[in-house]
Amino acid sequence: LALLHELRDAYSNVVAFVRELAVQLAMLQAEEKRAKRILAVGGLLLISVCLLTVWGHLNPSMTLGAFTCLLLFDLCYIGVALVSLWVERRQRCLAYTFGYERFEVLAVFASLMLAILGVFFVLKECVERAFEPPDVTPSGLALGGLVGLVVHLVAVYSVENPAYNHVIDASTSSWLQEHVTDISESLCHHVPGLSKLLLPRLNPLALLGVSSAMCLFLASCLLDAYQSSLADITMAVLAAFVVVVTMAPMAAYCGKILLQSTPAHLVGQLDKALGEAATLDGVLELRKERTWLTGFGQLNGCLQVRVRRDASEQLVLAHVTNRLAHLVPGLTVQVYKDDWSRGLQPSASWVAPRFNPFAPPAAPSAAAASHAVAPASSASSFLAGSSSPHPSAASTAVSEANLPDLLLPASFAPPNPFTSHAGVSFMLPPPPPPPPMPPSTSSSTFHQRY
Amino acid sequence: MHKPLSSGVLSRTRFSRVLARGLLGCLTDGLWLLGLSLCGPLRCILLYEHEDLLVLSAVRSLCCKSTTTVATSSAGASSASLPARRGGAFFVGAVLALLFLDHDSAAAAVGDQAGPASVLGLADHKLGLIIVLCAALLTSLKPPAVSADDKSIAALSTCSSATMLLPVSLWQAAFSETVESADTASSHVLAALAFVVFIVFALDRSVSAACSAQIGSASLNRVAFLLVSSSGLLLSLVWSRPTGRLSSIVPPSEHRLSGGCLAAFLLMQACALVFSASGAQRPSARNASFIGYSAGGLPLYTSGGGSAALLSRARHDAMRLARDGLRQVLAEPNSRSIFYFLLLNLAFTGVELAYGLWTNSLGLLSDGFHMLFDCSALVMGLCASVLGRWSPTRSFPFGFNRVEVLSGFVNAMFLMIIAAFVLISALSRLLHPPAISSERLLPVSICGLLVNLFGLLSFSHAHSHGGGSATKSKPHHPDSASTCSSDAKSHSHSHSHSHTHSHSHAHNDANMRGVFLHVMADTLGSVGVIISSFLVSWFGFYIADPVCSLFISLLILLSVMPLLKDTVSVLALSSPMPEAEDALQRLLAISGVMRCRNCRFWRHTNDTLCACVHLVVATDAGEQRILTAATAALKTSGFHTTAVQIEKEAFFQHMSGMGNTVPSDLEVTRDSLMVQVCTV
Repeated sequence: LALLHELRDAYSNVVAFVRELAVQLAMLQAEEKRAKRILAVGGLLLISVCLLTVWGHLNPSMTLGAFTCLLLFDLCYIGVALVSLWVERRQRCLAYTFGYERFEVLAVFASLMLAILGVFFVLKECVERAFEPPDVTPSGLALGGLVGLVVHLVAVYSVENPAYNHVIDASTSSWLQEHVTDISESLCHHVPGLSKLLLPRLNPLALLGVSSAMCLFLASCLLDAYQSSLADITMAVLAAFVVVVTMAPMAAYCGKILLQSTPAHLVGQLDKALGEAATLDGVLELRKERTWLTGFGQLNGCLQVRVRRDASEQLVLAHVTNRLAHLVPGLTVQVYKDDWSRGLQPSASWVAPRFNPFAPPAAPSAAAASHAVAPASSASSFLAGSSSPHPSAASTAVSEANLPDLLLPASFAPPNPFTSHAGVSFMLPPPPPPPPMPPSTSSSTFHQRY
Repeated sequence: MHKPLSSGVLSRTRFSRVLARGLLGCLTDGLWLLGLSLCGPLRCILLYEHEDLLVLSAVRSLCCKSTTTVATSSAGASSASLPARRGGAFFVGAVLALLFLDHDSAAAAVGDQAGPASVLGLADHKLGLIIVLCAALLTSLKPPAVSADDKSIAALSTCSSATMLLPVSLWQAAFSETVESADTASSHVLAALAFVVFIVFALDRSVSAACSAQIGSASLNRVAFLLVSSSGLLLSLVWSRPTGRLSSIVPPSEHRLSGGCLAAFLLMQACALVFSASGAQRPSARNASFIGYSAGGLPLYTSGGGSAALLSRARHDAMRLARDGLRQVLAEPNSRSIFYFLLLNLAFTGVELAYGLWTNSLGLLSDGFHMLFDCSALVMGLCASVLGRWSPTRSFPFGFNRVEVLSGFVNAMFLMIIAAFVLISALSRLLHPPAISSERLLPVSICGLLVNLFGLLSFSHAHSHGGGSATKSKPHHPDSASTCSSDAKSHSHSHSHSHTHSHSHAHNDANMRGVFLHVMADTLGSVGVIISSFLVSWFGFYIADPVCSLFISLLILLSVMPLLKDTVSVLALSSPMPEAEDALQRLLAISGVMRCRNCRFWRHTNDTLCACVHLVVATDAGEQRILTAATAALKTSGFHTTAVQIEKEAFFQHMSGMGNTVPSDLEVTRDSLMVQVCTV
């Protein structure tokens, strides 16, 4: 019963979502000229998909099925264009503090993954057909391929799709693209005029359409010649392979964005800028530098800067932001000074046995064991005990020596009970630390103290 | 013209070399002639005439391909050997086209023509092609004649092979003359023989030698193959369609031109172009691997022995990778349970496929492939749960935890596609319910149901909703929690979550939820199969099958929706809603804080929340104090990865002094927070 209830909830959610989607779509269509064009192309695609599906129903060719999958992907492509139009019109709000650009990335990723998964289904179908081949006739395959190719090229080239254009530019080239580029390079060696058309990189989606259509033509020719549906299956597998090969690099690029990663092509520049920022006056170190892309352009980042104690935080902040702003527009810089708490934490653990009157475990038992020995030896054992934590003793001494000038600046003496309490506690000899407790609670008390 | 015997008497070693080469020559020529007679001139030319160039480089490129793919194709090598690989692919394609696309494949199956091929059950052409290919390989073993010494050896070896063959042919000639009437103009035969010997063995060699001396061997190779094969094509065109006077001379040939031949011709041309071009361009040191720099600063390479070392290293690496991977998989309860279930599933699939192949039942086979398909989702979940524990790197500063969310998202999409396919096929079958026979499927689906139920039980600690299975898993709860002692805290958290309010969005591992839903969909599928097969076999309701699958696909779709929604909201960086408002309220309550700028709140994974906030504070406030207070405030509202930028008026002045504008959005003051809380 609970399951049914939940399912009803899910159902009503879906209905609400679809209604919301329709409303947004209607709004977009009413207000944007581009949306109308996109929707027109989408309608054309839908018609051709229906056509090809019916065609495929009459003539159960797997290659045609693979091509229909490609056209379904084109529908998703159109959908991505609509999403980026929608994103353009949305502002940041508290629910989406980074804005809605991520939806573009997500839409591109989803469409690519849908294409790849759909192709998996084609492969599965191919395996099944290999065991029980249906009779496939070559009639109309070539015509279907031609229609599909034309519609695909119209969809790819007539719709302005900034998200996909970015991904195509930024992702590494696919296997197919590499080979075509290699061939066209040697072609342009002989016919230089073609270099404008062919050379940098061809659009992978157009390439994909052409190669799928070629698979379809080949399948039709082979079927015509040999009447064996094995040819059809082979060509379908080939087309599926081409689809996966084309989509994989783009999906990898989008997936990396979704994983909050620093884009690889910016790592060098970022390191250089961070190196510059680290040499600014007053900066001691840069920590936890994290940068990530939200959408297809904007880089966000956060960074912790440890500064010298006498440095002006606002000036350092301004300089660091200035250095990094051209690379990372959405930057958050946390400027912090080395405060006493960092010196205190390690020291408290070993200072404890010396000043704590309440049964410190090691030293008194040692003393009790050697109570008959002369005081000189106990003194030496004390020295031996204190010699090992010597460096931290020095650090505490340093931090305690620095305490006065830390508290001296006028800005650091507000009438705040917490700070004054902290100051008092540090003017006194180090307080007895709390009994040993798990690190989580000790950190919480630490924060309560300030 | 060279004079073969000018160097005097043959030494013993030279004599043995001559003999060996003569034997080889006999063999290749015999094979070549046999192949020629079997498969006709054009095909023979296509395969044989490039002996020194094509076959060798094709074999080399194919071997090179296999080694580089094993060695996970290091960047430089893969890009450099690109044309060679393509040439190899062309070559293989051409051979395949000749083998399988030729026109006589159907005819040979029917007709039992007399010939050696019928013994092997192969078509004449195919056998001929294979023989010619062997001959080509054998010739490519023969070292090319370069020096004058080698040339003389070549000439002598031809003689020696002729002397070896002479008795045989004489005997055969005598034998055939006794059988047939003897006067078939032996002078004609002798003239033809002389012509053939002169053309094939003397003129061919010396003309090609002269040409290569004139224009260089590389371009000779290029042009020669083009010329030879295209003239062969032309001749066979003329032959295959004899018109006019020619038709009276030439008999209708059985070696007709076919589409496969044409395709092979084109592919071979491409292959020859690629190989000759790449052979001309690149230096010989392709297998050499870079090892460092010499004292003078020049690069050093190891030559030779590269591929073997590469192979062994790759094998070693693969072993280590597998061992490490296995250890990582077993280190954590989630991935461990996925791994064990994956093994179980794979075993079941293997048994099913083997049994299906054995009994030749299509239903079993297709079900087995379906299971294999599901295993891919499991593999993805496994990879994600291992990858998710990797530590942060330079380009993944937050670590890899999000991989699990991403895998949950992909899994959800996978399920939606599955459901959509099932829905469509069910709808189409609803109109025309086909008659199904379900005797064999029933036990298989019961077995599948058992396997999947096991999976449901083992994964049920990782999900937080789904009423029926939650009640089942309830008695299972204590021991599952105790076995997973390392993660007991998060598990108990998820359980308490699921029990207190069962249908809020579950804040736990999306990856495990995706895997769980997948297994659940499978279980539903097998339940559906069982029910529908009962209905069909008892009542003959053929419509039960599509109805069942329709229902199941709808169920899958609806149960996937929450997962999809959650993962989308995480991946789209939506802010965790009650926590973000709470944090803002706490931040603004700190004394000295005037407003928050550029607030960024997001959910990094399902249970890590991150925040980046700019706080504009009063001029006289202490920055460090506000920083610690703000961090503490964010921590108490649940944000553990934080960055707080404290800004005073001075900062804006500095920035404008440096000529920079400060971008600002999402400014929240105390008043506007009230407004936003009211509207949201």
